[in-house]
Amino acid sequence: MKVAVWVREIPDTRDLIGEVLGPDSMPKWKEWETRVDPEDLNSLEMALQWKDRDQQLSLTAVSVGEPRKLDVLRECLYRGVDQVVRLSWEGDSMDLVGEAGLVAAAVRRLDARVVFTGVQLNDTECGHKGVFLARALGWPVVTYVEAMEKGDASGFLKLRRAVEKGVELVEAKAPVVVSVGVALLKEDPRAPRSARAKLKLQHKKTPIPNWGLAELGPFPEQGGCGLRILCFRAQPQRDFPAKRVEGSSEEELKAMLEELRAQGVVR
Amino acid sequence: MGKGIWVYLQKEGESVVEESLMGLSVGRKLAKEASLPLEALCVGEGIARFQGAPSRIYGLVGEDLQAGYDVASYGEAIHYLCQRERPDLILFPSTTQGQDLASWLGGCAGAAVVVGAREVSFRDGGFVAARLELDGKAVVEYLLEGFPAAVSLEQAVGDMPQAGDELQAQVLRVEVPPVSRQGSVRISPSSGEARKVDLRSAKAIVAVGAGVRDRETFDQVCTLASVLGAELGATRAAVDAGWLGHEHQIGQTGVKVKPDLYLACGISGAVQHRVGMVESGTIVSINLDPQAPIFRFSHYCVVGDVRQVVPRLVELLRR
Ligand SMILES: Cc1cc2nc3c(=O)[nH]c(=O)nc-3n(C[C@H](O)[C@H](O)[C@H](O)COP(=O)(O)OP(=O)(O)OC[C@H]3O[C@@H](n4cnc5c(N)ncnc54)[C@H](O)[C@@H]3O)c2cc1C
Ligand SMILES: Nc1ncnc2c1ncn2[C@@H]1O[C@H](COP(=O)(O)O)[C@@H](O)[C@H]1O
Repeated sequence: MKVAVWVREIPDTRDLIGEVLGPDSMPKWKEWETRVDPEDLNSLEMALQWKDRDQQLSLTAVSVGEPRKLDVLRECLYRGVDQVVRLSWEGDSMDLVGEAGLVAAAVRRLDARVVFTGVQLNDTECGHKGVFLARALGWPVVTYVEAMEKGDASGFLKLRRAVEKGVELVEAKAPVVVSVGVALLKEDPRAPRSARAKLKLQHKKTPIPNWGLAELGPFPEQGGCGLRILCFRAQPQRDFPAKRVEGSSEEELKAMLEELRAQGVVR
Repeated sequence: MGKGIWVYLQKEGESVVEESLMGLSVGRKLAKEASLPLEALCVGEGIARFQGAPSRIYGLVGEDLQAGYDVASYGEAIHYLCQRERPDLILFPSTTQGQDLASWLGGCAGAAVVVGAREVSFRDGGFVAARLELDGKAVVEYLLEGFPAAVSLEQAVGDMPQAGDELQAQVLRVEVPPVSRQGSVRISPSSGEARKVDLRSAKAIVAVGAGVRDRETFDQVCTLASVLGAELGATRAAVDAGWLGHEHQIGQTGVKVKPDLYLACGISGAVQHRVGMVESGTIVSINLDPQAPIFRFSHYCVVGDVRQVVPRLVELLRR
């Protein structure tokens, strides 16, 4: 059974301090660190756990484009995938739908039958990439998957989706795209593993193959995105004139309750 | 231009989910501004009478749609209808299904799709969707130039229709040709129950997080809620841990709330939770970890153990 994971490097825009837009009103992309899309990391973990159970399973990670600050494919090698492939593109900068088209071509060449990826919607992205990929492949997709209960060598999967009304059980038959969204708790058995020291040593210099149009062959050209960014405008931040309250101090708790009463939010 | 603004009606049994009704109110406003008809579409037989008043409803039927919801078959059916009727804009509800389907249309070459917009406007003859990005620090405005054009809304955008909005719509049944496809997906009905708690209109909410680890602490938090006359809310982690049902979940895949008082017990403040509660009036958080992210958007940051702080608050409130 061949399985693929699509991972991406994204700017780390958590907890940005100060102005996020430069004098040109553009986001300060270059100043920010990058990270592996956290839901891609969760989807990688789901695939790795499947591989842990089924030694026959061959797992390939793919990503589009040169690394900027972090090589997400090397991060995948450090966690135990069998193979990685970088996809490249000579044309203009590519939007997410275009990336999905490249990944679809790679998935076909790899002959993978299940593809895992994360459900997260990132800055300036127009939709969920797992859905874009499924569309490009002509495959079905299961979104918001929080756990995989079963996966066998014939490509039959039992998945759990977390949606508004609770949990849904899904039975899927490969080929299928699995779009993962997991509640991230440290002790959660689904939480992603960290890089393994042994694999880090082993793969520090492993060459990473690059597939371009020559390897991927013709694939349907994307007609370009029909969206145009008009502007970024700073969102006024709500002010939190935070007060620290020492939980062990009865005096401080009492003072807090009095203030809350004065505000009329506590009777 | 000129064909109309469509709203996707997500069905739940024989009714339409609230989020779609809210989408209709956004659609009606836009239709007026752009002088376009307001129409709707759904999968299955169209519903002739319900609140929200589109003039026409397309009901999609076909072999691929019989097995129930699945992104690819619903998405293809909507795409088929789009190609045939060429609507100007489709609005999807803020639900996971709405995001899925908007993304499916967004995967077409040349499509103009924004998932999770908080505002859609008609400006200089075009539609502009605005979304909150960059950790909530900037709004990005997108001009929808391509086709199909679609937007799924952010939670709690739009108003619930008034009773007087009910109108008889013309229902059109559309037979969708089957598409051959590899692979299959079968979704069993959700395990969740209908919402019994009304978090949206609660004045005070006491929310339970994964920091509440034992029955005794949970009971104390419940006591605190009852002393404050508050509803109980939860993070997804607390729901996963089994403390409360999913109907109590606040956040991206739960409800978005705006009480006067939000008291968080053992909650870290993950972005998926934050989006559901950050607009609350006064936010009080109790957390052991002085660095917990939730303290960045709390008015009162109580550093301490819920096991001690909660009973102490109950005692002080009862005095
Ligand atoms: C697609 C997707 C959708 C999601 N939707 C939602 C959603 O709708 N709502 C939601 O809430 N989450 C959602 N999540 C999950 C979210 O990412 C977080 O995992 C979740 O909110 C964490 O819950 P928590 O704060 O209770 O747990 P944790 O992050 O584990 O935090 C527990 C906190 O308790 C503190 N603590 C521990 N012990 C004590 C003590 N004795 N006293 C005081 N404090 C203590 C800790 O310091 C910690 O800060 C979603 C995730 C995904 C991927
Ligand atoms: N929308 C975006 N999302 C993430 N990264 C971006 C985005 N736009 C530009 N970048 C990256 O930020 C860096 C600066 O981009 P530029 O300003 O186009 O030279 C490059 O590494 C880009 O790939």
